[in-house]
Amino acid sequence: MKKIFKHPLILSLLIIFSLIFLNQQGWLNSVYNIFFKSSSFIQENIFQASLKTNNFVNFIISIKNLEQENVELKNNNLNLLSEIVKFKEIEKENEILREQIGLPLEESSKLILTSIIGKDSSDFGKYFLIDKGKKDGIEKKFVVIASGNLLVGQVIEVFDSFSRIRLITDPNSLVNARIQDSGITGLIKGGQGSDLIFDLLPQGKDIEINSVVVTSGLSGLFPAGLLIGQIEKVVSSKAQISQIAKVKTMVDFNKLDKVFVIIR
Amino acid sequence: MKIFLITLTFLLALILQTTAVSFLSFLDVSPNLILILVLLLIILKDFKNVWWIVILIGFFMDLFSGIPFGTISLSLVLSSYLIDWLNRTIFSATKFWMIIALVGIGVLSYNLMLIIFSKFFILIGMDSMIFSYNLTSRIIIEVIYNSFFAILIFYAIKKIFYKEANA
Repeated sequence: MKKIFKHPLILSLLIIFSLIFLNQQGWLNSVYNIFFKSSSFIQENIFQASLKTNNFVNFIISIKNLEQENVELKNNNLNLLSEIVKFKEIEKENEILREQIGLPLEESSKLILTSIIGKDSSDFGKYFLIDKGKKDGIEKKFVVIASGNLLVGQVIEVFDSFSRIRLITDPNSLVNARIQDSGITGLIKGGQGSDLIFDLLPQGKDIEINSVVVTSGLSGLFPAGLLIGQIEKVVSSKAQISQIAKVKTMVDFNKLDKVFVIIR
Repeated sequence: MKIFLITLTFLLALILQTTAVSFLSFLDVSPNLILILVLLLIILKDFKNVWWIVILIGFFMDLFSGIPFGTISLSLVLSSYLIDWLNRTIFSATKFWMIIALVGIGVLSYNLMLIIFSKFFILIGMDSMIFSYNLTSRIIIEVIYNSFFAILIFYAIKKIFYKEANA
């Protein structure tokens, strides 16, 4: 009997099952904190250096398309500037109307700026590790965005000084969303790679390619109006009760190094 | 000293895995540096001598992962034991094709066990998780991609150690 327990495989399995038990009881939280704290400095630096190298390589690869991209961006910029002017006018009008009918003005959310210090060690999930945690006021289910109100994901685990966030591209992520122009609602799920799947879109409705998809705020988990992406392809079959669309995310997750956590 | 160096190499590899390696992804699959190093370590040394390193690294990988805790450790230990057994009984000489075959089997078994254990943990209510779509094609890419990196790393190790031995 003693010999069996001395076998390296049996011994290994016993140790692992003990660790799983300890983790279930929450007794490994201090180990998490010590490990993340001691490795965060090296991790953050290596992550930032890798990100810069990756961006530089991508820049070299795309150098021949820069001229055309520049013209397109200038055009987009002009369009966006005219839209900003239009929206500012609408915002002013909205404030005046709210004051007239006695509605309180909308409060802007409090944001915490955090740095991404690592990614998931397995390829099966899409998670980021950020350098802020319980001590900074972060809680589970808080929403994470990138600059420009772009939806990144949600906090799923919080430690003292660190948190784990699940990206919207993870297959476990579910976000209630709507197409901004038409108001058609559906459910955004993580798909293959960095693409998203827009499921449960009603049959018979016209879904335009390149339409902007935003959060609908239906479940209450995600605030309404956060940018998700653009419709890339619509897969419609009369045999199914709903339509499915492929959505291209607005966030380039490979270039992301700073994100904001929305404090409720 | 040697054990200390091996442990340090693995800890550095773990940090690289969660930072730099994720940028080397091809078709949404990035190389699993830790798995490759563990499998090569098992091929070069016996499981009974390094089992505790495998557990330690599996534990740290679990800390860094969002999938159910323990899944990676269990998969890593069992696939390492399988590779050790195959290495001792079926494959004997350290040849090019043998390394590819063992790493390929190791990566395949590791991924399959990862899925089985995660589903088991979900079944007993310890966690909830949905897997990504096209798992089969994903695993095939993992096997090919990791085998390719394993060959590069194996020959790099061989060259460094041979150089050291000859010096």
